Amino acid sequence: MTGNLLIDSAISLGVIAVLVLAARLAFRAPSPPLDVARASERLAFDEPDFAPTRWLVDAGGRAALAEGANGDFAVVCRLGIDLVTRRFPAGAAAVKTEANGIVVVPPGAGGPAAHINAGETAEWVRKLAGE
Amino acid sequence: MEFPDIIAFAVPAFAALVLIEIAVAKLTGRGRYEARDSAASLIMGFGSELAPLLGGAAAVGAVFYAAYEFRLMDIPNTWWAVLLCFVLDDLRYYWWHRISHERRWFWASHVVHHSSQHYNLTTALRQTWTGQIIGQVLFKTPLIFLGFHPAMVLFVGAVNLIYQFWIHTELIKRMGPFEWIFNTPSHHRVHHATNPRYLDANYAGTLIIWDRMFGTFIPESDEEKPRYGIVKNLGVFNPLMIAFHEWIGIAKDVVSARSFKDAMGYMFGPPGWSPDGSRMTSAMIKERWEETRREG
Repeated sequence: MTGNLLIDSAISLGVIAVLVLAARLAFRAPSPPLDVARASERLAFDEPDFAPTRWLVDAGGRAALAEGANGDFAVVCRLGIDLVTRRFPAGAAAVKTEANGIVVVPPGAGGPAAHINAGETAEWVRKLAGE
Repeated sequence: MEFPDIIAFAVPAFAALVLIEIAVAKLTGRGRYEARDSAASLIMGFGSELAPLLGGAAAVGAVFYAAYEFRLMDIPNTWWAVLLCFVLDDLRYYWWHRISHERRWFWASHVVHHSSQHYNLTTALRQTWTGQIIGQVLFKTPLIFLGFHPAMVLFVGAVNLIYQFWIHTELIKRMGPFEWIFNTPSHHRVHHATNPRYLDANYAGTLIIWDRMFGTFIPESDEEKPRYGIVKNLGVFNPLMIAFHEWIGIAKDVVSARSFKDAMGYMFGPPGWSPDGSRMTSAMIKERWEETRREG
């Protein structure tokens, strides 16, 4: 390194760009769309005592929403090639209605936002709100 | 005795090894990379080098200088002193690392390193932007106060840090008798795993003997592949959120705390602690898993 902070920082950022590009080129297979089987498997690992009774899955396979036997909910979202889950009680998540579906944002910083395009969501929205 | 800045020499080697790991992982199918995750890890590493320049490095330097001025004895800068300092610093690392997992205030910084769901050499570079001052001051100052020169303490710390780089890989499976004494990729995969059976284990830096001595050693099982990350994985690759999400969580919990005791619990209790037990600490998760295993 040169000892000059700006030059060293620029070199470091350049090297980071090369490494990320190499990773992108070597591993660019897209993640498969999320389905109930994959979502259930992940949820069973992250939340083993959550018993999903029904599912609402995004048409594009980006996310899934599950209602639990105890009236609580869980979302499973794709993050790159991985999945992220969050479990929450009714009334705890922020729910936004969009033209083709809903966006569910569970409580807590850094959690996933579940974008779910699906046909009938009105009942889900009511239940998510705890009504 | 001169103590060179070995981190500066190691960084190009880190980059070369990441490229080699990407190629080998691609060719063998053992290991995986997600470009956005790697980008986040590398940006975190970059930021962790800049963060101390905001004043932390000067503060730590001042404390070290003061501690050395009042040192208990004069330890010469010899090879045996470096070796002794390395072993003591590794013990220091074990306890610092363990506390960083067991107390939320320290976990808020260390969680950054565990926030990737991947386990590769870029994960090693996913480092915190916060918490370095208190970690250095609390745990390294005693070595300096004892009489080790600050440059020696920083040097052995750097050796320890460099050692821990190569163990962040899935390409190396087991290493035979080497694993009895040293931390290895297998041991450290367990440390990064969120599987209940692997939680709260293998805090070692270089020497795994500390985990064996203090009862926190868990071997990697062929029956259960580690799943990496944190109990509640992040849903974003945003470096700012990676750096500060747990601090935000602490702030929200403290603001909503119903008593001073609860606020203290949120800050200094185990990660996942809540007054009503509605959240899960790693000990609770492990207990639930053990109960299920006993019943099943």
